[in-house]
Order: sequence, then structure tokens, then C-alpha cells
Amino acid sequence: MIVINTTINISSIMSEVETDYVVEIEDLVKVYHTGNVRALDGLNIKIRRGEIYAFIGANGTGKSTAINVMNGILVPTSGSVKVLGKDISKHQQISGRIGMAPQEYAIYLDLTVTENIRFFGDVFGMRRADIERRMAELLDVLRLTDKKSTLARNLSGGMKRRVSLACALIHAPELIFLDEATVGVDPILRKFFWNYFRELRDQGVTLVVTSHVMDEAEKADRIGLLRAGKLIAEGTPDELKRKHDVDSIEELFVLLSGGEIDE
Amino acid sequence: MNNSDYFIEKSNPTFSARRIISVMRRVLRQIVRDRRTFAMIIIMPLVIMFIFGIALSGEVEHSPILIDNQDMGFSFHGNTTTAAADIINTLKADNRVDISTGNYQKGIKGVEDSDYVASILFPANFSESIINATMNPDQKIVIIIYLDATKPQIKGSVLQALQEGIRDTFGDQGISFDQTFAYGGVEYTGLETSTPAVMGFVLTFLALLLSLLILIRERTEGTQYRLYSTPMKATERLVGYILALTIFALIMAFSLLTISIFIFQVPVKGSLLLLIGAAILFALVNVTMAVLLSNFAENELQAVQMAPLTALPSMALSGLLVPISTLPAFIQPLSAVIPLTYAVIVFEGIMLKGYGIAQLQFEFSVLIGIALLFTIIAILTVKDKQE
Repeated sequence: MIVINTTINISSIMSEVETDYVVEIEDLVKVYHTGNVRALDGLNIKIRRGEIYAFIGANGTGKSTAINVMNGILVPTSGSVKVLGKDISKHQQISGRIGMAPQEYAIYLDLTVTENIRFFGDVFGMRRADIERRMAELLDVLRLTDKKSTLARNLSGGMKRRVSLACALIHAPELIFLDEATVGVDPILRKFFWNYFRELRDQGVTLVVTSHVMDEAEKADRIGLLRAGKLIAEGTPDELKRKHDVDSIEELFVLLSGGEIDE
Repeated sequence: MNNSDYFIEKSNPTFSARRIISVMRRVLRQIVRDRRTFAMIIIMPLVIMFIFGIALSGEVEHSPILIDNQDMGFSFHGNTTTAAADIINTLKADNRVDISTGNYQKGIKGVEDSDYVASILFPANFSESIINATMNPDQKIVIIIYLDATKPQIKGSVLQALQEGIRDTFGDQGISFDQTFAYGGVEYTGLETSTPAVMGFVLTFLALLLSLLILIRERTEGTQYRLYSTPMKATERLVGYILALTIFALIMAFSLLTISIFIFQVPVKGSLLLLIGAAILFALVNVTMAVLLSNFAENELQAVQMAPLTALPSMALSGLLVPISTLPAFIQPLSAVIPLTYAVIVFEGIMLKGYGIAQLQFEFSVLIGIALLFTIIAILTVKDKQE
């Protein structure tokens, strides 16, 4: 009975009352009590279902904060945050449909690759057989099959990053947050990742990413440029380039973000 | 990959046993994989036990003492008694003391110069007073001793040797130094006496510190924040940890008991089963305390600082190092709020005194209450999100 109740079907969800926006943020303010930092200062953003949305911005402009508020890790100070049609205070009702790969690897170093992935499968309440099937696919896509019995501790940075990604994707979430997910991943694999992200998007999955690699950001469907906790430019890469009369997003970044390129 | 193929819990209203067990299994795995931590769990109780064993089992031997024998002896009904000489002869066979003879005053100087531990004077009427004492209970027998009391063990062993020397020499002639040992006439060695306390200490210190370190790792490695975004509830994580860590605290208690019983031959007078139950309970107290403290520690350094901060006062005030009755009166109420106090009473009661659950009802209830209290506060203070 529970199974019938809870099986996710993307097409049925899309026909539900939920809007086409998977994230709706209005006047979001986030103040960190420690240090009294105003990380987000009246952020307004709407993210559409089935797009790849990239946050760019210099260090400390609130990219990670924004993502962490959306996935329920951080408590917003004020403003309205709706994710998958639910207010973020009811995060527990949608957490099973969200995937998250934080900036840190955030995997268990004393567990093997498969043990890490299985743990998150358990956390999301997946059936064992589903975990195994889905894991085999992810290991293949992320080129981790050879390393599946290796302790995470003994993996390279790029591999840990991929394990972290697998943990975020194991439950086939419809909304995925990736905070600097491709750091330490080599260019060939990174290209491969982006192809995979697009594949997911074409299935109706929404991806919200932060990136400091501007040519990578250019592969997103839409870009939001943050400065001092506010959205100062938003649009498709082409729109933005045309509007600001620049040749690349990197130029746009230098032009608008205060001149300093995020390392 | 088609998303609709997968079953995921869509809403998340209930407490999930599966998530708890997944945390427990994961933590157990992590501990076993982390060789340092695992080694600490298995080896530390061994090491501590051996250190305590060696430190406490050895008796003080060959303490140099000087004896000035001025006893004139006493003749009574034709029998001549030379009591002091007899005692000295007995003492000469006792390896706790090395006897020199000489002048009492010279002996005092020797004690001051650390050449002797004690200078002992048998007065001229020593034999006479002993004989008189057999007929007149008010007769005082005097031995004059000048003693270095700066080291209690040495002082104790010298006095004990002397006392036993007197008892062995005259024990059947009416001078009674008879001692009766309580709890079935058992006299315990230092190690045996200390094992229950050491168990309490190891569980307090190691279980607390290790639990804290393992709990904090979740935070420093960023996995805790990741879990905030998942259906995992903070309380589920917490209970998973409590289960896993209690299992390991138990392994510690078992290795400690095994070493005590099989290597150091420490007797368990009471029920072994009850003792294991008590160990489980006390492990739980410490694990829940660690879980509670971990809610307030941000990093490993803070955790490492917290552990001694709680463990050291526990040791000092629980009756583990010194009996509670010897503590200043204004501090004694503090002992009553320290869990280790009750654990020491329980462990000692079961192991040395052969107590059963009936005699330890109160202590058991207090420990259960503390574990519950810590768990409740931990659940109330654990974070599901970051502020």
C-alpha cells in the first residue's frame, strides 16, 4: 500500500498542482549568527523544472549559502523559500526527492565506494534491489566500477568527488544541487559529466549548480550571477553575453562581479 | 536511467528503524576500519589494566628500618621472656623490611636523612608489660616508632610487618591483633581492589573520548550537513550512534573483564551476568553523555578538551581514587551527581562484595535515570539544520 502511495513518477508529478518552478525564492535573507555575516541580502530567484541553473559569483557572494538554504541544510533568516512546491520549513516532506553534493566531499572515508553509496540508498529508503541496480549504473557512468571496493580514503580527489556525486544521485532525485561538483575532476571527465547532466535534464530532472569554471557555467541553460548576496544578472549564456556586450561569461564575470575572478 | 523506476519514500513522517540501523552499521564499520580507533578500543583497556596491575599488585619490599632493642626481658614463674628479640627474629624473616640494629636517636637522624624508613625502640619493660598485659587488660604495651609517613604505601607496609610480627610471635599467647575481614573473610590485593574502579575509569574516559571523536568526525567531514538535506532525522542518527557506540563500549568492558578475570585472577564474587549488565548500563551512560556533548563540540580539538574536562572530575570525586568520605564535606554532594560514583559502587559491590541486584537497586536506578536524562537532553539539543 505504501509502495503505491509513494512511488515517484515524474510525469504524474508534473501534472500535479505544482507549478513549473521547482524553486521559488523571494526576498531571501540569510544572516550567519557567527560573525554576523549577511550572506544573502534579498535574493529573488525562480528555477524552472528541467533546466540546468548555474550560480556564479566571486568568493563569499552567497552561492553555497543559497544552495544550502534550498536543500534544507540552512535555516533562512527571512524571506520565502519554496522548493518543489513546499515551503522549506516542511523540508522533510520533499527531502526524498532532492539530491545534494556539497562542496566538501562529504563521504565516509572509512567506507568503500559501494558502502558509501549503499548507505545513502538506505537513508533514502530505497529497496535493496533498486540500490544495487541504480548503483551499478552510476558506477558505470561515473567510471568508478574498478574502484568500487576501494576505501574512499584511498581515492584521488576527483574520484572522491565522483563518489560524492553518486551518493547524491543514488535515489534518482528530481532536483539536484551540486556545489562545485566538478572541482578536481579532469577536463575529459568533466565534459562527460556535463553530457550526463544534460541527459538527466532531458529526462525532466532539474540541476542547480555552482561553479567557478566559467566555460563550464556556459554549458548551463541559465546563469545567475551573485554579488554581495544579491542576484545582479540572470539569463541564458547567450542572453547575458548579448545584453552586456561581452564575448564570454568570463568577461561578464569580470565586468559585473567586482573584478575578482573566483579562484 | 528512468527516474520512475525507483522507489523512494516520498514523505517522511515516521521514525525509521531502517535509517537507524543503517547508521549503526555504518558507524560500526567505520570504527573497525579505522585501525587507530579500533586499536584503542581493544588495546587501551589492556594497557591501562596492566599498568594498574603492575602499579598496584607489587608490595613494598626491603624498607630499611632501625631497631633499638632495650628490652630487659622478664622472668615469670621461672620462664624468661625476651619478647622484643622474638619479634625481631620474626621480622628478620619478613622481606618487607630490612633490619639494622642501633641507637634509636641515630635511627631518627637516619630517617631524616632518608637512610631509614623507621626507627623503632623497644623499651626496657617491653617483655614485662607484655606478660602483665596477659593478666591486666589495662596494662599498656608501648613501642616507640619514628616513621617516615610521606609515602603511605611504605608506611603501611612497615606497620603491617610490625603488627604481623607481633601477632605471629604472640598471637597464641593472648595478645590479640586479630583482624577480621569482611565479605566472607576475603582479603584483596591492590589490583583486585582497584579493578572495579579501573573498569569504571576506562569506560568513562575511553568510551567518552572515542565516542566524541567518532561523532565529531561526521561533522568535520561534512557528512552531517549532507545528511541534513536527506530524510535522515537527527534523532535517528543519534540513536544509530548510541547503538553502535554502546556495542563498542561493551567490547571494551569485555576485554577489561577478561583481562581482569583470566590474567590477573580478579575474583567476581557476585553474578557475572549482573556485572555484564552493569557494564552495559554504564557504557550507555557514557555514550549518551558523549552524544550530548557532541552537540556542543564543533571540532575534534573541542571534543578532546571536553573529554578530560568531564572524566577528570569524575575520577577525583567518584571514590575511584580516594574514598568519598575522605573528601572535604562541601565537595561530597558533587560526588552524588557523578555517574561514575554509582558505577564504582556497583562494580565493587558485584565483584568484591558479592552484592546482588537487591543491594544495588538504588545505584542501578540512578544509572538508568542518568542514561535516560542524557538521551533526552541530547535529543532536545541535536540539530536537524544549521542556524
